[in-house]
Amino acid sequence: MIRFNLILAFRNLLKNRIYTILIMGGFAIGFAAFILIGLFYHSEKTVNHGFKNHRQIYRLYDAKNVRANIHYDLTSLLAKNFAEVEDVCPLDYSSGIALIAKNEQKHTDTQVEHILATTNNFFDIFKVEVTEKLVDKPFDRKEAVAISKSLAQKLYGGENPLGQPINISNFMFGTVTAIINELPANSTFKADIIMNSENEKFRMNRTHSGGLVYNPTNIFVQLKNGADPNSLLNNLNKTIRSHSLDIDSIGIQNLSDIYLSTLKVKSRHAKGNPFMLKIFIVIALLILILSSINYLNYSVSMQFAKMKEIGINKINGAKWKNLVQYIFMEVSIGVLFSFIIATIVTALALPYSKIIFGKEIHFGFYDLLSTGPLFLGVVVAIILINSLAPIYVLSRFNITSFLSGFRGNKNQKQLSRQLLLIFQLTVSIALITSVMVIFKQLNFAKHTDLGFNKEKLLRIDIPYKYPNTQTLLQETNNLPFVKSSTLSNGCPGMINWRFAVGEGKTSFDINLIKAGSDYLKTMGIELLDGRDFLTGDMEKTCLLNEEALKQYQWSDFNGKKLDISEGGYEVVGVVKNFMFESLHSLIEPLAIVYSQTPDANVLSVSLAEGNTGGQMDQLKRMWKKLSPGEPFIFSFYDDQFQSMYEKEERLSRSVTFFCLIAIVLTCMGILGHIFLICLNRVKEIGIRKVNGARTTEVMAMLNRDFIKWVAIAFLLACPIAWYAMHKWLENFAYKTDLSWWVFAAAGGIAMLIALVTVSWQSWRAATRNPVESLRYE
Amino acid sequence: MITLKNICKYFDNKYNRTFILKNVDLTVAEGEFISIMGPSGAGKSTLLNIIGLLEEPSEGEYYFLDQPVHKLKEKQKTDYHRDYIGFIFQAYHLIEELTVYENIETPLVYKGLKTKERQAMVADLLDRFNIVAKKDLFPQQLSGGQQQMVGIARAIAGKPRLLLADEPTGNLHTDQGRMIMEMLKQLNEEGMTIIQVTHNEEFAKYAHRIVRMADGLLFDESKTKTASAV
Repeated sequence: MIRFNLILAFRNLLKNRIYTILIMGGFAIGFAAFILIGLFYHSEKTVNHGFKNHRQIYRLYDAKNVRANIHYDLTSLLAKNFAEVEDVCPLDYSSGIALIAKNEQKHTDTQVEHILATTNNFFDIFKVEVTEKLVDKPFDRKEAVAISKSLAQKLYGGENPLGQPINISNFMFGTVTAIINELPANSTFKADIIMNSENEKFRMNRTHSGGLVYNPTNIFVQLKNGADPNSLLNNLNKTIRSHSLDIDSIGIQNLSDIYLSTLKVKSRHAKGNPFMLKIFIVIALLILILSSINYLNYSVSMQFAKMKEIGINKINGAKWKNLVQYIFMEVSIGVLFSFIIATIVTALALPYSKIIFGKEIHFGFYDLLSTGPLFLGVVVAIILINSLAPIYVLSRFNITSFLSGFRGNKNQKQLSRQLLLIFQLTVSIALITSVMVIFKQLNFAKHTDLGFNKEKLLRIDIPYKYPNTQTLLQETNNLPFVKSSTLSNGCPGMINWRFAVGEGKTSFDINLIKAGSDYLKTMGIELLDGRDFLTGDMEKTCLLNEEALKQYQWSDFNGKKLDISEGGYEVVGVVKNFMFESLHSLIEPLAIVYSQTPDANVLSVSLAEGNTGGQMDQLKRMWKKLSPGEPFIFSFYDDQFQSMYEKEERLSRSVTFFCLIAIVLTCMGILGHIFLICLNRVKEIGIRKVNGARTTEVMAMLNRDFIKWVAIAFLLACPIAWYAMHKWLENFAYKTDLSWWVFAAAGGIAMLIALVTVSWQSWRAATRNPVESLRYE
Repeated sequence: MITLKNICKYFDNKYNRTFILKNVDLTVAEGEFISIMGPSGAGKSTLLNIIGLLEEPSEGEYYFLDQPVHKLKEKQKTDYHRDYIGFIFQAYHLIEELTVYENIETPLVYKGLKTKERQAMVADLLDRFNIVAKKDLFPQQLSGGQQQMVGIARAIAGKPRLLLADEPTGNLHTDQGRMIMEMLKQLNEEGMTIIQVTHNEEFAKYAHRIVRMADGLLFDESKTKTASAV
């Protein structure tokens, strides 16, 4: 019996080969998209789960300022006084700033992005695999440094790195005492170098705040098994003020929550976008539903087409059980087949996950255990739905109507089909709108006035304790194609100094750029009021941006001082606000201090029009001459700001990609719908043509309904898309507006797609020779 | 074997009742061969469907093998299809996705017979109908007469006691039609009860008895004959 049903099912699928391939292919693609997004979701949800103790590891943060960097000395306090704490470590993490690790003996150097400063406890808490070490603890001395295997290979080649000296950007000097394996890939932080933070020189941050000067750091605690984090929090907050650590209240966050928490804790740890993730999940579900609808329509209509066959089987003595078994088997074959294709497609696409999601998805055995049942469940659910629907439809007819090929109660059947189609169209229109808004926002962000002239503006990073700073400036200015150049400590995109200024309630943090001469000219920053720096002003004056003036609540800057050091800096002018962070955050208060800049870390160069490549070559040659052994690190300001949107761009690209899949699936739905309509109306079309209807009239008759449905879908989609995009734009400090034309255009596009799809089939139906279509009936 | 008493089939419209069958009485004995004749719309096919348990009468009683069929449930009717009744259609109604062999096998599969038994029985039938060479072909590769042969083979594969034929020769030309009728006659001689609907006077005469229908009413020719003789 099973063999018999299998044969029938296979031959039936093969009979309508093109339709079957179309539907199953569409379903497989939809399913692959669903699996991919599912894996992405799983991967995002399990960030930091690679650390075995992640359930017990918590990060403390400054709850008042929502900042992860807190006083280093809290570490020792936690280790001693709290019963819940098993272990504690500081975790000073730097990323995004390029530091250079050097092996001075072999003259090898490499850029290092991820640097940690912590204590021996870190290795225990995070279960870091130390492959080689000098003694039983990774850090046995103050200048101890652990490095990753790949870095060891780059710097020391085949030699044994243990005990060797390491120079980090000329200001931190250590000895390699341990080699570690890479940290788990799916984590919020990485480590190429881990330094011993017992050594104060290895603490990378320093702050002046609340009358204190201290090294801020992230602090992670491992709680004892079963210990309640809230009780630790309560105990901490009771006493925290008495320790004068510049913290009013502490918050606590599990290691695995850092990535997707909606709390915007300022820290260097990678941060996911929970809202975007929600969008992805919604899209995944929509794609799954869209492709299921297509499949459902397909299997129901297939059963209709086979009504005669079923009738014959019933006369031959088939019981309901046999028929149900048969339908179930045919649907299962189709779905399982699609599922296998989808799995293969997913497996092929997985290596490109970095391009699709901007993140590599690692899929291991344990991930299979946790996601497998979900996917299997979905498959089973789809099989059940797709078998039950035709069974339900068939159960309403008796044998004689089967044998006469009766196609069911047309009105009723088509109403449910229409609803499904309208749903598909609604989803498509909403997705098209969303994609358009996303691109509009990206375009807006790209073309927003940054407040300074980013065109052909070059940034050269100067190494720490660089001896030839002034010579470099002069040589650069001597080059014919340099319009002007300027030294500074800090620049848009890299602010190193922050000070707390003002008093009481009006106190706020101000960002600081220490700039040399020609700063405003080179950067193209507009002076709104007052004057630029004059020669005698050095180390005495500063400029504020509009925001700083506003936060100070000064109406006039005359005679005011920026009080961040002894004597302070006299404010001589106000500059227009300019972006020195991404568009995600509003412009903060900023002061530009006129300085000799012996500690300059950036040389900004405004280049004249001309061949940029040639200009760069000359600059590079000059750099080689002045600073042998130092790598030439440069970037253009506009690239730098572009790269801040890299994440958004990648996300929008992948959203677009999945939206396209959804739209294609909808097209298939439309196609299937018009296909069936034409089939049902073959005779009607033939009769109309015999009676003198023109092709255009027949097409108009067939297309009219679709216009109506697109219109209904448009009305439904607008509020949904508006709400979703309104929410998404809240992520940005500077956002584009949701213009009406975006919605109109999306509706227009959907209408166009629908009509083109419909016309393709309706034209064929309308031009068919009526003799042929009438003979069939 | 079959007793119909006062069978009516009608549809109710808003104002009037349209009769398709009106007070039909018919008795068929085991081993009989009956032809039902009449113009289009007389209700022949409906009557056959009712006898074949494909449709239910609106009124009246129907006894099949002394069982009151009008009281049977859907599931029991399937059992009757499986064990007692075979069908032949004007349009053959073969399953296009199955080969000749598999088509004949269908009722045996539903009967739950083992593969070995099925093979033996299908082989017998192929042999008997002279279509052994065609067993792996699909229906559309056969001529109409051959397709109807397969249809008959399938109908009798389950060894039914009653064979219902709805215009079995309607789509065939005369030679093929004669071949089919010879086959039916032979089956009848072996003891099978056959009821056929036909338009063809010549083919109707293969039956022992002809009943004529018009406008839902049934006139039993044999009875009228007897009446006129008296």
